[in-house]
Amino acid sequence: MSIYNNLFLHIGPDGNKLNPEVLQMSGPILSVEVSIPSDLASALTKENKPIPNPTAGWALIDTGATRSCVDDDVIRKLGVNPIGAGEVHDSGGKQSVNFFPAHFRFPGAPLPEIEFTSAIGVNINAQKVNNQSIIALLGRDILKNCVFIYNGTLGMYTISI
Amino acid sequence: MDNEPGGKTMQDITKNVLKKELEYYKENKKEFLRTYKGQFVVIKDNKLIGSYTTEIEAYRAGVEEFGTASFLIKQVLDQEPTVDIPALTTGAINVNL
Repeated sequence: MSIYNNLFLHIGPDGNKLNPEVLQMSGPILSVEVSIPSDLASALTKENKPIPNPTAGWALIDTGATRSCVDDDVIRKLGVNPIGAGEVHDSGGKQSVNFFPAHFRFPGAPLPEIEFTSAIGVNINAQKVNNQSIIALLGRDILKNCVFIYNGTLGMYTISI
Repeated sequence: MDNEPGGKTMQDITKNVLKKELEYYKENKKEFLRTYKGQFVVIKDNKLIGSYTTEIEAYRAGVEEFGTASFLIKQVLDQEPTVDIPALTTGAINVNL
């Protein structure tokens, strides 16, 4: 089992210090690279087509999300077609969405790569932390296999997969 | 805090890529429930391609058959499962630290 501790630091004249407000403002995020699923990469190779480069951004650990999500624009620009459709309930009511296969890698964190058959395509990349877009939500379909500790008092979280 | 406009609405992103397949599934759902309940079916245009125990098996079969083209995977269930994503419209995640 891989364990990742993410500390949210305030950079000040006295050096870097753990700061609960930094975690409060950003939420429990980590760097993510979204790429096409490996089966699709194999299919592209067979068809002599180039494999698109991954897209980097933030993933937000979202205990409120039943299932994990990927930004619709990001996954479409990688050339991935939806494999399903359905409805999600958000705070505004019901919304229609597509489901996409996707591959997540977490650079800088010792966590395993995750292959999704159907992540939910949502419109989230306007949501930014330090001017980098949130392009994925890690929902309870992933968290069911994890220990996740949100330490708001210290300003850090721990996740093990 | 840096609030940016959301751009596209959620309705904009559900294009009709799988419209034909979804209609075919809807029309034949009763029959699928009798034969494939709980399984994952792969549908392309107006044709059932196969049924599989897991979603990943269904996906691999679809990619094997259709490559990079679109196809539908649907788990055959009486009721469609509900998915909650409450954070989607709160707009609370735009921050500069």
